[in-house]
Amino acid sequence: METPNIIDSDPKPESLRIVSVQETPSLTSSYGKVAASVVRPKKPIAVSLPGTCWQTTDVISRQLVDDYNSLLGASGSVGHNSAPSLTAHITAFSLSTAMMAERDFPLPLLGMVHLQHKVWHMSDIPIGQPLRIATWAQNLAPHHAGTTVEIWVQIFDPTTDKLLWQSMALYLSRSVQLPGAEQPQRPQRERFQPPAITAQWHLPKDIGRRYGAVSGDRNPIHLSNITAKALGMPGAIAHGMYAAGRMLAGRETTAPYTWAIEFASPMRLPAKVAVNYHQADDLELITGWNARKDKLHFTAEIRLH
Amino acid sequence: MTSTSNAAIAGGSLRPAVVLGGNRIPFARAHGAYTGASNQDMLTSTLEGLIARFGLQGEQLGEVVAGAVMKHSADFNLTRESVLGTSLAAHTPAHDVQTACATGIETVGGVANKIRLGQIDSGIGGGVDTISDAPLAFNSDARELFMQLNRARTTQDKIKVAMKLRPKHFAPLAPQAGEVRTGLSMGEHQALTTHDWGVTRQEQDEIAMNSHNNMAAAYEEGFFNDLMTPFRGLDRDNNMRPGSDLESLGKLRIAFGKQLGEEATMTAGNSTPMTDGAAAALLSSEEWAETNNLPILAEFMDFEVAAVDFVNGEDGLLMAPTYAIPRILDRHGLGLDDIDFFEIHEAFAGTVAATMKALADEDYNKNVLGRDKALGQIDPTKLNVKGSSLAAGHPFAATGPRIVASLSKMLHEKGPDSLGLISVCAAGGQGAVALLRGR
Repeated sequence: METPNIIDSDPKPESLRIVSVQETPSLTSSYGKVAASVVRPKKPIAVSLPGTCWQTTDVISRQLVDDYNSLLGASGSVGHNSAPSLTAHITAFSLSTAMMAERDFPLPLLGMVHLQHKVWHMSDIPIGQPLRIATWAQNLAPHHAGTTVEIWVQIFDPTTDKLLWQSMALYLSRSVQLPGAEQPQRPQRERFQPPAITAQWHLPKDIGRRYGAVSGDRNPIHLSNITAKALGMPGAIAHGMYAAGRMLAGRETTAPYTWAIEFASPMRLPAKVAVNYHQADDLELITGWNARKDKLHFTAEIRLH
Repeated sequence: MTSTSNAAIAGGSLRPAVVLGGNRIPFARAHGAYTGASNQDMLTSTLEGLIARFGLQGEQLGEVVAGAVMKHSADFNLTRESVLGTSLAAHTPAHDVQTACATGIETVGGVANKIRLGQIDSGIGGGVDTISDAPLAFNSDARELFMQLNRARTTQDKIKVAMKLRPKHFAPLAPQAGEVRTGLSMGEHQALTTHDWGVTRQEQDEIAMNSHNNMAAAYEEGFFNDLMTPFRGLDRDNNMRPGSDLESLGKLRIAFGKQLGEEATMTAGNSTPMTDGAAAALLSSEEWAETNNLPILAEFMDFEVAAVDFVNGEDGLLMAPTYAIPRILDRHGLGLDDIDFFEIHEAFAGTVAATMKALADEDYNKNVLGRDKALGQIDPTKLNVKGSSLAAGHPFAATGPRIVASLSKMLHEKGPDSLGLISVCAAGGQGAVALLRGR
């Protein structure tokens, strides 16, 4: 059974300079800002991370939860006023993206490849109540295809300062090399052996636009073939986090739990994704692949604690 | 209630519910002979045929219970509307039931339970389904717009909403063939189960061949003469192929489980096609049968439902009857050897084979069903001896009453105290089984 191979890393926000943001810029404005800089690209040499931790106060709105649930189906037994795990990501994502769109961020935002994502869902997150959100980047690291960076998010109850939820997203920038770092070898991957199909997802060609409308993430590579091709993709692909939402749908449970997903290849839209769910005690493993080409799309896990 | 003793529900003792007979219209392959016939047309005709056979014109029955798996939203009172279209007394109440393909066992079982409790003395359990007139709906985006249009107050607002309508809003939403939670069609699910249990192509084709040939022989001997009324030019099921043989079945191409490559075994020949049709069974108390001078065919002893966890791939989608069969037999202190006729609904030949293999499997019985040993082997000579769904077709909700009526007649012919077991699998990982005793 395939398992996601998630890097072992701990959050290290301690020595970072706090940047307080009153109002989070929209994702569209962040993408627009970096699209303008495509004309004048960043130097393809990464030096260092800006050493900042961006913070804001925001709410996971009831509207977002309703829209999310109507697109993906009910999240599972998350409780009456408790937000689905991915709506926390969606709410924090614009802050992370605004941070990555800044000039002092060493990797270009557009063209960044989402490799993996891990979420620690430690407590119920209330819907419609203020939350303190913090995000930062750490661990610029050499990768056989470029440079990776971890983007962390932590969400706190602002009155008790209790940590409710945290996530680590690992991104790859193909265009940037770390100076002086030794490029690791491309790891040998065993040939993918497809497990039994226990489910099948039909992703329609407009699913990128639909998830974009709910999440605000209107990255052009997800919207249409034309906009995706303009950015050098062969065609529109599904949001990785849509796949995460699909694999979580109906399976979220009472906190605490963790989930993680590792992306292997993009899902070109429209897509038919073969899926295997495998449950072993407190661990559920999910594999998604293209059955026609025997090509792995993702591996994921949900772990109860 | 004219009975002198108390009803069971009012402190009296339970009484048997008995099957007096049944009726169905021939089943027709979808988009064929019954194109243009609605669920209500077919159910009304089926009920009227039953009424005519048993002389029930003008009678008030305790209740008529029926249902359809694929039902138009306007048909919310399908059974009551059908009853009003028959010659039964208008005072006969009716209600609808829907539990996918197990609907027909649930309708008959519900009527039987009410009779046993003394709440009613007589009733009809039925089912109907059409693929040819399946409900098409507006997609959710269009529904939202039409609702907005409905809520708009001023002409200006209405125009604003109407301007949002696009051609895509008129693409109809057809009922899904797939399981909602997995996105896999029922055939693809069964292909996994068939493969897991190592059921061969030959085993499945034999089940299909026997179904067609057994049913053809039953027609020849006139078995269905008092179980069927013609409808729209058909007087027998038009899916049935008398003289089916392994050679022609063996030539058919793979229909489900193509990803299994060489190991795929399921074809259109060993899978049941989409079908239109309706069926109903008449049940009553012994007293009511005697008063109305109607012979009793069998006693409807009991029924049992079960469900499996197919979403996480632990159980096969259509394996719920393997849970229900041991439970109902245990309850009555019976074993498989006590049963004279097995009626295992042939959703797919692979379902029948996998069900039989599972019941005989030591590991499955111990580790999955939690029993101390295997339930046992089902004697294949007692299986679907008058044919089943592979030959007749399977208009979802109609299958239960079709089997109840046929099995009751078989048990009556076999003699008093003969026993029959029905097993029907259903979408959603559910299943219903029933136990009948000959009179």
